[in-house]
Amino acid sequence: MASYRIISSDNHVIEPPDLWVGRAPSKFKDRMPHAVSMEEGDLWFCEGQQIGSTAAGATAGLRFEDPGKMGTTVKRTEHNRPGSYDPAEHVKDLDIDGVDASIIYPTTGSVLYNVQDTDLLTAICQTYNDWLADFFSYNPKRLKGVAMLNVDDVGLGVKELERCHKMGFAGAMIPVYPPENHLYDQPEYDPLWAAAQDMGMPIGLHISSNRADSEFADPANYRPTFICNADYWPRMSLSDLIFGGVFERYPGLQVGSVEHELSWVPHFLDRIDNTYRQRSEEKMADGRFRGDMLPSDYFHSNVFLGFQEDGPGVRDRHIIGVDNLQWGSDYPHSEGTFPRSRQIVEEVLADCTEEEKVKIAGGNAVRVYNLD
Amino acid sequence: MSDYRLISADNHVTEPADLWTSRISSKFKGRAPHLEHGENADAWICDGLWISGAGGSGKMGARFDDPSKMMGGGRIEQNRLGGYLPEDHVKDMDLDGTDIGIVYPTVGVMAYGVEDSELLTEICSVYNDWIAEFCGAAPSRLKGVAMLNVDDVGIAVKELERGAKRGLIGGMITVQPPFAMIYENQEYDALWAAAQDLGMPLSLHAGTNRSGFYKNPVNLRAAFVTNLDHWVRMALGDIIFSGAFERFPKLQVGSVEHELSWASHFLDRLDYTYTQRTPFPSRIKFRDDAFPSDYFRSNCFVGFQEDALGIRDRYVIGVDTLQWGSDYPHPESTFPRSREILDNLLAECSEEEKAKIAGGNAARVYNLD
Repeated sequence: MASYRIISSDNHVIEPPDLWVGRAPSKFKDRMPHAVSMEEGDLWFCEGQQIGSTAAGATAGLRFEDPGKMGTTVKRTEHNRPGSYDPAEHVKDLDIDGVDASIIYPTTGSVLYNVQDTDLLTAICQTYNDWLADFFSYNPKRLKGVAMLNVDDVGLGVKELERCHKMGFAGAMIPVYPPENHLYDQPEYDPLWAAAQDMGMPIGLHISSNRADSEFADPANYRPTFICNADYWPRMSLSDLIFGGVFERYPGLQVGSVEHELSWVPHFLDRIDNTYRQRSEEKMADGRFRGDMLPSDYFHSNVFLGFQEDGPGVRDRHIIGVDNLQWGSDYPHSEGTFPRSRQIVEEVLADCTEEEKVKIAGGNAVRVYNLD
Repeated sequence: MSDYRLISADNHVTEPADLWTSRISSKFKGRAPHLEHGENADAWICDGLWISGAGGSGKMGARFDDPSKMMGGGRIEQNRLGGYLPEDHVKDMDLDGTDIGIVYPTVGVMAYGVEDSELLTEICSVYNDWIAEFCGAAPSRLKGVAMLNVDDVGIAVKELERGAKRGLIGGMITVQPPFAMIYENQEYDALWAAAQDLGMPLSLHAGTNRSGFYKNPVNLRAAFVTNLDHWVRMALGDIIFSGAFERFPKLQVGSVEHELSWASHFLDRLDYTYTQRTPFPSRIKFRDDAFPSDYFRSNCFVGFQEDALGIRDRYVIGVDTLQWGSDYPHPESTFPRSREILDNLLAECSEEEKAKIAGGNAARVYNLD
């Protein structure tokens, strides 16, 4: 068995059905996400829209035992693995899985970036952050929280980031892709980048956290093709950050793609430099970078990549950047590696040097998130 | 120098200024794509909207000599003559060592964003008349691809049939159909059937987004150009998951000018989604334990220009799917160094693989012999 330290850079909680309703400010009490028990399963609803199952952690490990059953069982909240919302159980499962520390993202929270009303989303974020702070306070050394930020109003996003920093959060998430009239290359985001840099809070772009947008909020988008091509959204956001010169202005800022795997990166790096160097006329970005910097250089210095099981991506680690890779288990989701994380990490890193293994399995997350 | 047969699966014409204005039917007079002479550069305008620059092919070769000269607009008279004169196009192919050019439009690519569907249909049919004449001047060397508007599938089928009769060898369809008409939709079956039965491959060329990225200025940004493969991945994913290749096993659909190295990740994700993501209502179970990636390797082709990573991954992507193209006469093309560039790119390939990738696959898919 591996002797290196393993940190899951992408664990999850599954929000208990009363998380938002139980803690909401009275103004939003009636509009908060709430769970409804239906024939097909226990489901979350918000603003009249169904936004997924409350039982996303009901089948952890089943993929190894009986994958055919993964989609067939009616899922109920009580089927969830208790570690989904009980911190003591979460830590016990880390022990079972041989994982040292857990960087924690929401489950339903990601999808809630689809809520149109910005004040409601702000309340959803704050309520979640309060709950998660209680959760990780059980064992702050091993449980590391990622705060949900609504950055529709950048000033409010910065305030929430500061509040969460004080509460002991390790980082924050923003929508994987913002509304098209509010892209990440816009200078209005600069206070957020400055604050994240100065507080040492890495910013995560997690799969399925697209901000509400009339077209992409359409349920017809939830089709296999959309899931297959989900790497588009962090690619667009990272391109905007790079071409917008954000990493030139904030060299200490770290922004990451989470749960989009790795093997899209070599093509992306090839194209981003090609666009910078060879695409003509109106398509070119404004201005040029300082010195001889290429877009891929900013990627290598300022971007981290959470992944789970991507053999081709690990093979291409010298193109992608060994220092950029952060393994994560996706616990307790049904497609996660729990309870076989150590075995899977060893298999996926088999060709790496010891130094590379140490970095990818945990060292890079320790560096980026300033863990001890 | 290599002796394999070179077929450029992605050449272009640069449309002459009067292509549409001189041929468009009276109903659309005044609305045809036309050239306007701006202070600093020429521009193609259609229905009041800028759709494309002009004169880019005048900067061909600058990438090898001085890439900074590639920036900024141009004048149509700077274009290389081969862009609109078939004799010159063939002369340039001789110079470049290319046997056959499969020819796509330039302004026509951008015209897929024209909002009015009837106007787009007319733009397609006028272009198809012109390109049939262009290729007719050297029919063994120049092979035209018809522009199709699939907003109305029945009309597209008719235009594909008309193109086949006029000697065109394939049809191009938008890389991003309107959201209400994604390629998963079974309405497209009539088109898939016609393309299969006529032996006309269908292609998804970079930039043919029906939403027209020039209409929304944020889509002209560098991020959009960097990530163009997304749209062809969405289109191919929808066609594969719709089961179209199961119903039309001889249908060929290809990606053009999106390079290759996205395909290995895409294939990994297709199969992963099929096997491991919670089942979707629209999901079908393929016959004979086939995986989505199997349909990609049997029914899709991938045009590329210079993608070393993609060549390295050729066994994952499928050696038989790869079709090299020069992008002549665009400023980023390999002309006039195509053979040298391709020799370097394919250095690790076996002779058989080289012959396939440089031309054999295109000859097979387009029935060129």
